[in-house]
This record gives sequence, structure tokens and C-alpha cells, in this order.
Amino acid sequence: MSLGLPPADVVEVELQLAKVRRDELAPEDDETLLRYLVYLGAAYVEADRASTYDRLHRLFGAVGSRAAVLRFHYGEQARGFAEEKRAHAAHERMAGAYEGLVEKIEAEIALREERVRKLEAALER
Amino acid sequence: MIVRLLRADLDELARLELDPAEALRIGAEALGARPTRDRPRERAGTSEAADELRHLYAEAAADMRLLQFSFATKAGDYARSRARYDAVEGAMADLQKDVVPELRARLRALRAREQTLERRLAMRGVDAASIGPTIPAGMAVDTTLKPGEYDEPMLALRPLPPRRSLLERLVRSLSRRV
Repeated sequence: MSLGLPPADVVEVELQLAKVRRDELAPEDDETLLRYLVYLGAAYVEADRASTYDRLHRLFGAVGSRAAVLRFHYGEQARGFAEEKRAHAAHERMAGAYEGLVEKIEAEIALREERVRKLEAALER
Repeated sequence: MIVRLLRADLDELARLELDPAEALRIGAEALGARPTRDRPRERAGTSEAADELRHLYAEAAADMRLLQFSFATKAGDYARSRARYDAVEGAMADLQKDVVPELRARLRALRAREQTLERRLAMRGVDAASIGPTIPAGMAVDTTLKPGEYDEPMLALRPLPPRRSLLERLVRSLSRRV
């Protein structure tokens, strides 16, 4: 399913944070707050251009739907990522055990092949 | 302070004829002066409702874009992790399904051959136990057949019948009613 995520092409921008009156919706981390304020300012400009109540209402609905879809998939993928990280340690143990088993079988095969050759030689004598 | 943004964010700002500093100034002005509720309370269609919606939309859009930033910058790691997980799982499944059973089958065949030769030597009065090399006691690999190593055919479901066309389904539904 395509989520329409933009490419992870990141640019760095130098911004100054003046004194702001943080409210309960603002992120606490400074870099996240600055990013949030850039997005917030852009969204206010978009909202001002929408002008009518109906148009704003449609925009509000659309952004809520988009956020819900992103939140769901982000949560799913983050959960999968955490499980994969946990599974990685188990994988390494299992891979080590299999590697050990294969080495053990190969060593026994080599010994038995040698013994079979000697038994055959003894029979031919 | 250095702030990381998506290049797509800059494109979006350019579309709105904004640069990041100007957008930041507008956003910072609203902070602390906006309502912090998450649902509209004003009567729909009024100017108060439109103003309320303006703030609600701006907050929801900024929040969504923060989420989008996090997701977009981590999506690559998530995809790489998934690909690596699938590759390791696949390699281990191949080892379990093909490599180990084949080696164990080879070992079973060798042990059978050894026993045949030992019997034939014994019939000639030769003590095969004196012919080495030997596997130290308790070190031999267990070669009994494991689930999936037998030759019985795998159980498989019969293929589904071809899907009926809309017309056939309609005729069938009508004929049931008659």
C-alpha cells in the first residue's frame, strides 16, 4: 500500500528560536518545536487562504484522515521494527546452533567415509 | 539552531510563498494565543467557528507533518530491517528444510553401509571394531527421521473452482428463489 510519504531527503536550515509562550500542544524538544512552528506557520497561511468555513472544514477533515492513516502505519512499522530487533538476537543464536550442527554432521560424515573405505579395503584383502 | 526539514517541506513552503523563517514567525505568534482544544465547539457556519477551525486545522496539519517527518526519515530503516529479517528467516528455513536433512540422510546411508560391511567382515571372522577411525561414544549425531524428512506427500488443498461470473451468480441466486 502506498502511503504517499515524501522522500526522506532531509535539508538542514538555520533558525533562531525567540522567546515563545509554549502551550500544552507544543513539543518540548527545541528542534522538534522549531520544526513544528514552521509547519504551524505554513498551516496558518494555508488556512487563511481557504477563507470559507466549508473549505476549512474539508481541509480539517482531510488532514485528520491523513494523520490517522499515518499514525496507524507508523505504529505498525515501529512495532515490527522492535520485534525484528528482538528477533535478531534469537536469529543469531539459532544460526549459530545450525552452523554447529552442520559442522558436526560434516565431521562425522568425513570420519565414517574414511572408515567405510578401510572396511572395504579389509574385505578385499 | 540547525533544524532538519524534508526537502518536500521546503517545496510546500515555496508553494505558499514562504521561507522557513517566515513560517516560524507566524507559527510562534500563534503559540500561547490559540485555543488548545482538539474538537470544534462553536456553532457551525459562524465566523467564530471559522476562526476556531483555522486554529484547529493549523494544529492538526502541523502535528500531521511532524508525524510525516518522523515516518519518512525512519521508513528506510524500517524497510532495511524488514528485508534483513526476511533474508535471515529465508536462509534459516532453507538450512532447516534442505541442507540439514540432506546431510542427515547422507549420514544414515553411510551408517547402513558400515553395518553391512561389518556384518560381512564378521562372517569372515574379522573383528570390524578394530578398524578405525571411530566416533567417540555419545558424540554421534542423531539421524532419526524428523518431521518433514519423511517421503510422504505433503497435504495440499484442492484448487478453488473458477470464480463464477456476475451473470452466473445472478442466475444462481434467482433460481434458488424460484
